This record gives sequence, C-alpha cells and structure tokens, in this order.
Amino acid sequence: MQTVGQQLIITAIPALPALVFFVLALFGRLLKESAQYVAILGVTISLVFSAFALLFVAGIVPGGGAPIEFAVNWINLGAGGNFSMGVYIDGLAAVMLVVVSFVSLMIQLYSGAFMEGDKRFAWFYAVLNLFTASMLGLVLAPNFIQLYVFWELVGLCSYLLVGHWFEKPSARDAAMKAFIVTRIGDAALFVGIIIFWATTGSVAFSDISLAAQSGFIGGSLFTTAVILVFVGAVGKSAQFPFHVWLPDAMEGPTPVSALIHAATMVAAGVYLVARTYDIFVQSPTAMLTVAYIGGFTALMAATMALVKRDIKRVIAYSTVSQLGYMMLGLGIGNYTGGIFHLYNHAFFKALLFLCAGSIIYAMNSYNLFEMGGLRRRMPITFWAMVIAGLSLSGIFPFSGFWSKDSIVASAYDEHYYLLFGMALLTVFMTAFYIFRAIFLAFTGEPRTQGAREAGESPGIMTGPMMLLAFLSIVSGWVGIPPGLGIPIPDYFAEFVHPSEFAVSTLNIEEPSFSFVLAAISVVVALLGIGLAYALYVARPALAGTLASRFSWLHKFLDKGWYFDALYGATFVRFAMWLGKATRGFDRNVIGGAVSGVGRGATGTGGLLQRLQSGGVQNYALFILLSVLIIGIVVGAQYAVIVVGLIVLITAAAFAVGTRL
Amino acid sequence: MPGVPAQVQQFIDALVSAPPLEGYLVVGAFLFAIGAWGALIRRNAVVIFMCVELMINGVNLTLVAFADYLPGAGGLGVSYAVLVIAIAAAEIAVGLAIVLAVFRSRRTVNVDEVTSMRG
Amino acid sequence: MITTVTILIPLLGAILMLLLPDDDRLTRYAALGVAAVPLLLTIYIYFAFGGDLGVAALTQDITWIGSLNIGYRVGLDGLGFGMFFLSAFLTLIAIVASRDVKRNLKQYFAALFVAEVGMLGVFAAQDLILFYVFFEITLIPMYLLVGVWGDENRRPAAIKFFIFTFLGSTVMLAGFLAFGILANTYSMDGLGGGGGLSRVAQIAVAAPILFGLLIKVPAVPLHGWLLDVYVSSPTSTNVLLSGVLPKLGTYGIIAVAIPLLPQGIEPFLPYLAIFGVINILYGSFVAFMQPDLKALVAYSSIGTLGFILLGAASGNAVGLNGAVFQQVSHGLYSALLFILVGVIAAKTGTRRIRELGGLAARMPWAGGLLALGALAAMGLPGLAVFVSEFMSIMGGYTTFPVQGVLASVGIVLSAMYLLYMLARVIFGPVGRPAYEDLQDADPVEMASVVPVAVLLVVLGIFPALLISVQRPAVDAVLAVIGGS
Repeated sequence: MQTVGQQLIITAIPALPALVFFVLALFGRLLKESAQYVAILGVTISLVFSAFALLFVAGIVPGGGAPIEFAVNWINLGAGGNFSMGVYIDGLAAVMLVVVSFVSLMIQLYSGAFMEGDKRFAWFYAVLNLFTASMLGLVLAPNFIQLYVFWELVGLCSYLLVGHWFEKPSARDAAMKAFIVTRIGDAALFVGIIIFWATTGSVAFSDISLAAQSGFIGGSLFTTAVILVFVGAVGKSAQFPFHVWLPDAMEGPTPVSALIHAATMVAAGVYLVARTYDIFVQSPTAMLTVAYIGGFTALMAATMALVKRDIKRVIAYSTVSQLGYMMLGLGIGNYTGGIFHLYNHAFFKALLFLCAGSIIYAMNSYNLFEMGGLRRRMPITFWAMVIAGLSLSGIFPFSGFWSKDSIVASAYDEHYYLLFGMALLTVFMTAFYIFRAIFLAFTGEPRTQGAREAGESPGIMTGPMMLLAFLSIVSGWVGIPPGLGIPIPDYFAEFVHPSEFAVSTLNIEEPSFSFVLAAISVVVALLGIGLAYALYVARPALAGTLASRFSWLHKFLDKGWYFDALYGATFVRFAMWLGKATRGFDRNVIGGAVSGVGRGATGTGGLLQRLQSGGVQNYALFILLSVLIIGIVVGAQYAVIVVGLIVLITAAAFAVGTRL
Repeated sequence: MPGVPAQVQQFIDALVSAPPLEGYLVVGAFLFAIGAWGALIRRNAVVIFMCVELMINGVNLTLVAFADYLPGAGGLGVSYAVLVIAIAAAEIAVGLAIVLAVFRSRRTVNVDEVTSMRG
Repeated sequence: MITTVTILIPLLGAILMLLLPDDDRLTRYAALGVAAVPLLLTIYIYFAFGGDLGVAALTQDITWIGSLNIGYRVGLDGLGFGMFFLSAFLTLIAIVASRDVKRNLKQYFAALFVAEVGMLGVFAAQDLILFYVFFEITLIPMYLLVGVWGDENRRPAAIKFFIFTFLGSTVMLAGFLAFGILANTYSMDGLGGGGGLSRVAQIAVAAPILFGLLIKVPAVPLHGWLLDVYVSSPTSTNVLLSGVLPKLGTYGIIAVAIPLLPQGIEPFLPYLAIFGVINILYGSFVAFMQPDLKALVAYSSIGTLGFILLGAASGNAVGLNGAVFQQVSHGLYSALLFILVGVIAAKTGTRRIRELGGLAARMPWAGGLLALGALAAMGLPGLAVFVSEFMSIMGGYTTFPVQGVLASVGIVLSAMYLLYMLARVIFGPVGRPAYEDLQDADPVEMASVVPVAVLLVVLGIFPALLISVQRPAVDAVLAVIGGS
C-alpha cells in the first residue's frame, strides 16, 4: 500500500512531461533554445521518480515490494459502465518506466546539439515531452481504455515528429503514412477492446483475464478479440504486414528515430502483448499467431536490411526485425526473454541511431556509399557503433547476447524448429547487415568530400552516446541465466516474470541455459560479421559483382519485397476509387435527386399554372366540380340518388339555362 | 262541394293544401342550378350577377322551407335567410361597383376579356 | 423563470439591434454584450443546478391553448443542457467570427439572435407543440442568413435548405399532432413512456417524427440540401448551422422520439444504427476526394453525426451518454474547423485544397489549430470527440455488433482523409509564392477559435464535467425504455 505522497510521485512521472509540453507549446517562442533546459529538468525528475517506482516495486523502498495500484474515475456511468484512469506498476511496468524516461533524457540531451538552429526548436522539445508523457502514461495503464488513449497519443507524437520538417514532401507523406497505417491497427485494437467490454463489462486487464478464465467469454469470439488486440500491436510495432511505415518514418529527425522508432513507441506493441499476457495465454491460436508473425517479420525485415544504402533505413529494418524477435519470444512463451530483449534493445538500438545521427550531423548525408574512412575522424562514434553492433549481433558478453540467446534457445526447447531455424538465419543476417553498415561507413577510404571533412560531434552528443554504449555492454548482465555458472543471480527474471496463471496455462519448463545453443548462435553471428568483412573490407569489388549478378534479388530486397507497390496498387487505389465513386454518386444521384425535386416542383407548378386562366367562370366551375366531388365522396352510400339528382338537375338547368 | 268528381276534388285539395317539403326543395334546387349554369356560361358580368342572385335565392328558399319543416330549430333557418339577403345586398353593391369600375377602364363587361389574373 | 429569461434575452437583443444607429463598431460591441448574457446565465445554471438535472428543472408551465392542452412548458434537463449551453456559447463565437459580414450588420445580428431564441428554446421545450414552434423559429432566420449574406450561390442553397427542412418539420408536426390528439396532451412530461398509446399507434406516430428529424440531422441519403448551404453560408452562420442545427434533429431523437415513444421507436432502432453507420462511412468516402476545404469539413461533419445516431440507437447507458456528449463535441470541433477554414480562405483567397499548402510554416497558430480540429474530428484521445465516439461505438456494438464494427472502420477512414487534407493544406512546401508573407491569425480571429479549442481539450481530458450533468437524465431515459 502506498501513501498519498507516493501516489503523487507516481502520478508526477507522466504529469511532469505533460506540463512541460503545455509550457513549451504556449511559451516556446519566448524560450527559444532555452526550451531544452525546461524539458531536461522535467524529464530528469521523471527519471528519478521512475527509479523510485522501480525501487518501490522491487521492495527496496520500505513499504514496497508489491505492485503499485490506484485509480480515479474518469467516466462514471454507475451501473452502465465505469472507465477509470489509473496506475498499475509491476516489475514489467517499472522497468519500462525507467527505460523510457532514461532514453528520453538521453535523447533530449543529444537533441540540444543535433537540432540547434532549427526554426521549431521549442516545438520539437514540446512534442518530445508530450511523447514522453504519453508513453509513460501508456506504460502505467491498468486498463484498455487508458492504454488506448495514450496509445493514440504516442501515435500522434510520432506523426508530429516524423513530420517535423514538414516542408519536405517526403517527410510530410511519411508522417501521414505512419499515422494511417498504425491507425488501421488501432481500429482493430479498438474493436478488440469493445468486444472485451461488451462481453465482460470491464476494460481492466485483470478483470478481462479473470472473466475469460471463468468462461464469460470464450471460443472463437475470444480468439478474435485477442487477435484484434494483437493486430493493434502489430501496427504499432511495425510487424508484418504493417511494417511499411517504419522505414519511411526515418524522414524524421534522427533523435526522434532513436527515441520513438527504436527504443520506446514501437516497443509499445510488444509491451501490450506482455501487459495482457494473461489474456493472450488463454488462446493458443493467438499465441501461435504472435510467434509466427514475429518470427517471419524478424527474417523478412533482416533480408530487407541487407542491401539498403541509407544508414537509417538499415537500422530501421533492423528495428522491425528485432521487434519480431520480441514477439517471437512472447509467442512461444518466453515472456522474460522477450521483455529482456526489449529492455536491452532500447539501449543498443537508441545508440545505433544516435551514432547514425552523429554521422549525419558531421557530413549531412544518409548514404552509406558517400561515407567511408570515418573511423579516424569520428573515433567515439566508431567505437560506440561497434559496441552497439556487437550487442545487436548477439556476441558474448554484450547485452544483446543474453536476451537474444534466451529467445533462440527457447524456440529450440519448445520444439518450434521452424522458428528456431528462422531465428538463427536472422542472427546471421543481422550480424552481416549491421557490420556491412559499420565497415562501409568507417573503414576504407573516404568516398566523398563530405566524408573527408567530417569531424567528431560535440560532447553533448557524444556524452549520451558513451553512456548508452556502456549500457549496451552491461545492461544484459542483470539477466545472466543461472545455468552459466557465474555467481550473479538472474535479477531480471526474478523481477519481470509471467504470472503464475500464465506459467501454469502455458505449461513450459524452466528454461535452462544450453552452452551448445549459445555457441551456435554466437558462431553464426561471427560468420555474419566475417562475411561482411570479406565483402566490404577485404574484397570490396565482390559485393558489387554479387549485386549485379543477382540484380533481381537485389532489387526485390531493396524495394522491401514490393510491399509498398502492392499496397499502393490495391488498398490505396481501391480507397481512391471508392472515394471518387461515392463523390460521383453524391453529386449525380443525390444532387440530381435534389434538383429533380426542385424541377418536379417547378414543372407541376407550370402545369397547375395553366388552370389559372384568369377567367372568373373557370374558377367558379372548379368550385362547383369540387363540391360535387366532395358530395360524391361523402355521400358514397347515396351515390345512385346523388348521381341521379345531379343528372336530373343538370339536364333541367341546361334546358332552362339555354333560353336565359 | 257536390257534383265534382272525386278525382278532381282530390286534385283541388292537393292544390290548396300546404305543399310538401320536397316541392320547395326541388324548386330551390332548380333555382340554384339555373343560377349556377348561368353564372358559368354567360359572359356579361351583370347577367352573371343576376344568376348569382338566383343561386342565393334558391338557397334562401331551401333555408326557409327547412325552417318551417323543422320547428325544433327555433326559426334559425329564417334568420339565416335574412342574413343571406343582407349579405347579398352588400355583395351586389360591391360587385356592381367593381363591374362599373371595370367597365370604365376597359369599356366592356365581358368577363372573358377580363383575364389580368392569369397565372 | 431563469430558463425563460435566457431564451428571451436574445429576442430583446434582436430588437435592440434593429434600434441601434448605423455604426458597425457599436453594433458589434452591443451584439457581443447581448450574446454574453445567455452564456453567463447558462454557466450560472451549470454551477448552481448542474448536478440536479435528472428531470426537467427550472421549469415554467403556462397554459397556452387550454382546450388542446398545449402549454408554454420549458425546463432544462441533462439531455438538453449541453446543447443549451453550446447554443449560447456558439452564438457568441459566431458574433466574434462575423468579420466577413460587411453589409447590413444590424439585421445580420438580429437574425442571428432570433435563431438563437429558437435554438435555446428547442433544448428547453417540454411541450411538443412548443418544441415544434422553436424548431421552426430557427428556420426563417437561418434561411435569411444564408440567402442574404451567403456567397454568389446563396439563393438556390437557401431555398433548398428551406424546402428540405420545412418538409421535414411539417412531417414531424403531423406526427406530433397525431401523438397529441391520441394522448390528449402535448406535455412531454405527460407523454413519457408513450402517453398510454398502444404499440401500433406508437409506431405509426414515431415514423413521421423520425423522418422529419432525420432530414434535419441530416441522415444520408436525406442530406442533399446540406452541401450547398454549408458552402454558401458566411463563416459565422456556418458555426451555428453545423454546430447547433443538426442537433435539433438528434436531440429530438434522443429527448422526444426515444423516451416518449419507447415502443414505437423500437422497431426503427436497428435502422437508426444503420443510418448512423452509413453516415459515418459515406461522409468519410465523399470527403475523401473533395477538392474544396469547406465541403470536406461539411462531409466530415455528416460523418461524425453518424456516431450520435449509432449511440442513440444503442439504448444503453454508454451509447446514449456517448450520443448526448457527441452532440456537444461535434458542435465544438465543427465550429472550430469552419471558422479556421473561413480564416484561411480570407487570407489566401482560396478554399481549394490543391492551391493551398505549407500554411503551418507561415501561420503556426491557425495551422496548428486547424490540425487540432482535424485531429479532433478523427477522434484523437485527449479531445472531446474521442470520448463520445468511443462511448457511442461501445454502446452501439453492445446492441448491434455489426454496426459497431463497421463504425470502427470510420476511425481509419476519417484519419485517411483528414491527414491527407492536413498534408495538403498546412504541411508540405508553400503552395504559392504569395503565401510567403501571410500573416498568422490576428487577435480577433484567435479570440473566436481559442475558446472552442480550449473547451475541446478540457472536455476531452475531463469528460466528467459534462457527463455528470447529463447522466441522471440519461438514466431517466433508460428507465423508461428499460435499458441498462
């Protein structure tokens, strides 16, 4: 149980960056570049408070040791429904809080130099803080509605930040694409949420899990809802088939790519699956879907990264691929491994982006083939990137090794041999493409003037990079599996673990460390690095020859398996056609009907106008006839008499009248 | 009255006794129909007015006849008839004034030529 | 009493306008002063009686036509309060945003105030005939506002508007009369739960009433009059036309058709939900390819109105609360967008999306607020529309799963066309060289949009501000129709 003061501290974690957002959005023009100090102050306090939450949940702070949980009513409809905003911090959320606020702090420090002189500097910081606030709010969410609220808000921030340089049409279109593609996933997530709500009457994760266990919802409807939630995660985490937005999102400023499109927002999909793990495990179909989508995405994105010339896109595809790993881990039941990889990945992938940003800052180019020989000119960046690359490749004892090995090994242990093969192949390609990028950028001779004149970035940029590089080495050491024989306990697994319910439902054995599997994955990764060395350092001509010999394959990979072209030719074109068709229908049929009514009224009026001859006797005749008709209608039962009388009177009147 | 055949006596009785209601109604209807017919086919505005008068009087006759036939109505029909006569007088006054005005401006009282209200 | 005073003050204002000397400055200040009074009164009502509007409060009941049991019966309940407030609020905003009106300013404001009388009256009426009277009172001034002060295409537009809505309200009146004659009273209080009519009679009465109200909304395919009217009106008329007038229809459905004819409306509810879904999808698709910014906003408005119909049809607490709330949030966002479109059109001289571009760089505030409005329209959390949309869809799904799922597709569609619009209008390279020295919105223009935007955000973050007022009344409706 927490005191009110502690609850306030927890609430301040997302509230402070939100406050900073409002301050900067309103007074940004006055603050100009000093906006960064306000922002950094805010996020530093958030980080401290997040650390407090972590210590509290870990039981180091007195009174702690249990998940933090409290909520306030947001929309209260009494018996009709109740939606609350609240906080639920267990080990998973606590780790995420620290990761998010730490990476956010690093990025905000780094951006001070990277974005210097930008015309919308303060606005950039404002949105970064709105993002941080939303991401923290998402992590804290105890129910689907709160999660959805912040889920959309991080999407909005991604939209604004990718489109930060909106004068460039490519940035503008990339921002739009990112938002729309993720929103398709969001709509699916939303439908999943309302299915849960309609069947269980609650949106809280724990309630839904319990309701499903006791049979309030089950069968195909339950599976559908779980898969719809997963589709939301797929959209956010850029998994197949919604991965197309992430590479384009690299149009945003590089610090944004590091924060949003590497460490935090794209991991939200993985976080969602982990957060709702108790629900997912109840549907074996959904779990298999998660595993296979993850495994396939990991492999597919890795192949796409092999040939990219743009350094940021290599890293972007790498992110898609690594997120696939995390999904794979969760899907096969290795909850801790998946989250552990998320945690390690946040550091080394953010570092990779910051290194790319450092190069871009130095020579204003994204193209790997315009770089070369940067090792001597940018030593800090070089070594940071090598560390990150080794970590990404999963080389012992860098952080990536521990989590990646855990996932790969459990795929084997759980007898998913196909997934195991895909994961291993991905390990090989991952090591190859990242070292291809490193060798192209840093070794050999400078290929352009820009590369010759490049210099190391200022300390405010290299500082965060060095910190992250340190973490990329050691962050994995908190999760060293007991089987290795090193007398350091597996803190991570003790802290972030699936619920007992999930463990018993999945019925998996305690993962044990296997030296053989670890050795295989490290050797495969080293082979990848070796191949990259062979092709890009030892015999650079060979790479070009290969590319031209297999030009169709090269093109296929470079175009990202033609997914963009496929979607453009089908969905986009269909939507455009439908829009045109409906608009035509609206103009011609509905508009035509409206003018038809108008014309009909005018026409009828024209006909009736003829009756108004102006002759007074015509009018009198109408009156008389109308009276007769009314008389016939009213006196229908006397019809014969009436008609007879009329005939008689008319005849008589005719006889007399003609003589008048 | 002796010496008169029974049939003739009956006929005379019928002649001198109060006529039945139907008689009045038929006469009223005839008056109305003649008036209506005239109002529809005559072109002279003054004749039309006379025909309208015929219609009005046909109605008046009906009203008075019913007033006699239905004593329970308390003579309401007669008072209506008086009202109608008064209105008819007023109508003639206004109507003839209009006819005069039309004649002054157009030198005709032929209603077929007065069609300025054509829609 | 305070209700009547609030309704009638704009009438006095209209008379005052006509008596003023011909001085534009004075006229504007006087109009602002008059419009502020009903708003202040509604704010006072909110704080003084806001928690207590489960049944009509602050009522007044004066016999009007005794033999037919028609009365001047007004009162405020939670269903109408939100829109009552919004009518007063948006009239004030419309007056601030009326700079594009140059001719006959006094008469313009007078017409606006008469329209306000009608709008306030509808949301407070507790008698069917009075409801109809106020319903029609809005019609004539709106006809004039469009027909006299609109653009070059104003006359056919105004006539279309008049014919369609008049047709609708006449049919509705026929339904009201039949209802009143059968039940022998026109008091909404006395008619609650069907006024003793049999199910068949209720259905027969509900059909014309619904038809009339759906034209007013407008529900696709009865929306033929809308586009020309919206496009031709001056900005400040747009604010009321889109912000308040459609809600006369939806409010009629929620506060008249459903609680007074619970059995009669029941067979129509699935179709009402279908109408809602059609509105959502159809509005989005037509907006998709609109070359004109104002037309795009107009169709977006049709689309989001669908959520009200869906929520109203749902017959459960979440859906109905969502529908009542959406009336307000829809009014806010569409007013915001229409004013900003007016500002942009005035500054750039065009409304064609293709000719605009890159405005955010030159007009950060106007562009940013346009983005805010568009994001609100696509139901972004943190803004009021999200709250009502998710509740409407949730409620709708619970009763009509298929319609609920289809409505969710609208989330994607609205994002598609609105983001496309933003990309073309405020982002990207500057559309024309002349835009390089555009000025951002000036203080008056900001004064007309910032309050609306603030309200959108505040209601989006703290929906309980409004929900706590409307909930008791919605619960009362639910008690009548037997929902949960």
